[in-house]
Amino acid sequence: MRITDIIIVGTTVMLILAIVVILLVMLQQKQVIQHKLIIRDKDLQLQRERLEAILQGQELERKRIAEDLHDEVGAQLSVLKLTIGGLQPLLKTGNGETERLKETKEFTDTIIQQLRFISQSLHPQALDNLGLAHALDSFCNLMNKNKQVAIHFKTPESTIPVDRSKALHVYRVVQELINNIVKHAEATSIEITYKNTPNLLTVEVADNGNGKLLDTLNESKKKSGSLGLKNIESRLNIINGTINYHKRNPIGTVAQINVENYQQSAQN
Amino acid sequence: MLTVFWCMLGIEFLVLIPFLLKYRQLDPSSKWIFYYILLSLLFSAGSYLIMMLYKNNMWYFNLMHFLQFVVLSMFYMSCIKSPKLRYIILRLPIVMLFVFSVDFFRIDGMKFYNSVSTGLKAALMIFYAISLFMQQLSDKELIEKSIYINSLPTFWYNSGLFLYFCSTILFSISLSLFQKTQNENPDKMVLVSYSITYAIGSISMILFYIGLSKTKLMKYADH
Repeated sequence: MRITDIIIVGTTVMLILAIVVILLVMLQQKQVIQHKLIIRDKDLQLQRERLEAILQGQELERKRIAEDLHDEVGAQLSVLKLTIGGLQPLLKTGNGETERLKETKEFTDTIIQQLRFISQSLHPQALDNLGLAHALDSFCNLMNKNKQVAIHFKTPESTIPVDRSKALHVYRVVQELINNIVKHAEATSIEITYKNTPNLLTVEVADNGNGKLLDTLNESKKKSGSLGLKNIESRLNIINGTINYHKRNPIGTVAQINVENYQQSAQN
Repeated sequence: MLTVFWCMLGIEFLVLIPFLLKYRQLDPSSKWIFYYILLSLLFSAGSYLIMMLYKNNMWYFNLMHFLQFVVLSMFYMSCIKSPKLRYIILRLPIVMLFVFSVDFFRIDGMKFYNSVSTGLKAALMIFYAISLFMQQLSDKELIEKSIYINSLPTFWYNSGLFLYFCSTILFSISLSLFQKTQNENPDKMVLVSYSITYAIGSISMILFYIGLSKTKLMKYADH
């Protein structure tokens, strides 16, 4: 073999080696990044599972408290109301005792109402028994009794059953939104529209407030401790839902919650 | 042979156009590659003219090789982050000026291809290229931001240079020997050497163009 041939062969080998090195560098870095992405995905999944477990624990505790309040304290207050009702015919003095007893009975009634409201807010029993649309309707009725703000709930005649866990998250998000409106928007009326197609559940919360809710939301996003907004985001993140805020014409704000694949799976 | 030469010249010119059009938006590393292509164009065209006029253009070859080394050192200076390596890269052109001068005046002479200095230049370029590959492979910022190495223009520029110097180093080392000895057919060797240089040079130019096309898409520059 002549020197020229050796050099040509050597050059060819060098060229092939150079190509192999370049390809190996590309592949190696790609593998490192993919490995990193897999670890990141697992971390996110773990965080999500932890959050879900925390929220589930929170809900269980709320349910226990709500049941205790409703079944024990509520029942005792009802007995107290009946006892007060039974005392009324026995009072014969004309020194205003009847009126005071009537006031006490009314006060007991108010406490029972408030207890129901707290119990309902803590854990919506209607959600388990009648579904999301009815639970939201029931929540609106309860809120309307406060007369702080008038809530109108619109729902189609037939609704598709929503997965139990997803329904609870959507319910909590709507609850949080209404709390925000009552606190910040100075609204007199709220309109909740419930829509469902086989693949998409949409709940629209529109108010006629000052529209400052959007600014408040933007400010809250910048702050690290905006618990309400984080709660909404976390809950929607768990159920793969989204929320969009926009201004309403002529005044107010609209928040639109969208949840895809919300229906109960066959195994549930 | 001349056809391959004109093809190479044409590709260099074609690649130079997009660099020239986007010159203002180029990052420092791309600018140095632009200067390298410009220099390569001057190298090719100038060596052809000198060959036509004076028959021997080897002194021009040696001079341009040194200028290329300086420009490429500046390219690697703009990419490599290691302080130690940067220290070496910045000072090596002075050392190489001495090596080129000794080779030019003492070892191979101005009428022959300066194999010692050009071979050393190619070896240094391969070393710089591998260093840059290693740096990009272990770059935590790239991994954290999930930026693939092939989306960086510097990777493509470096690949072009690495491929070119890996393929030409053996010819660089042996060419003066072939020019001086009568045992082998030097014309055949020169022909093969130039053909491979032009072919790999064209591939490098294409890789430079790929690198340039990555500059408009990316926001992260590895320098």
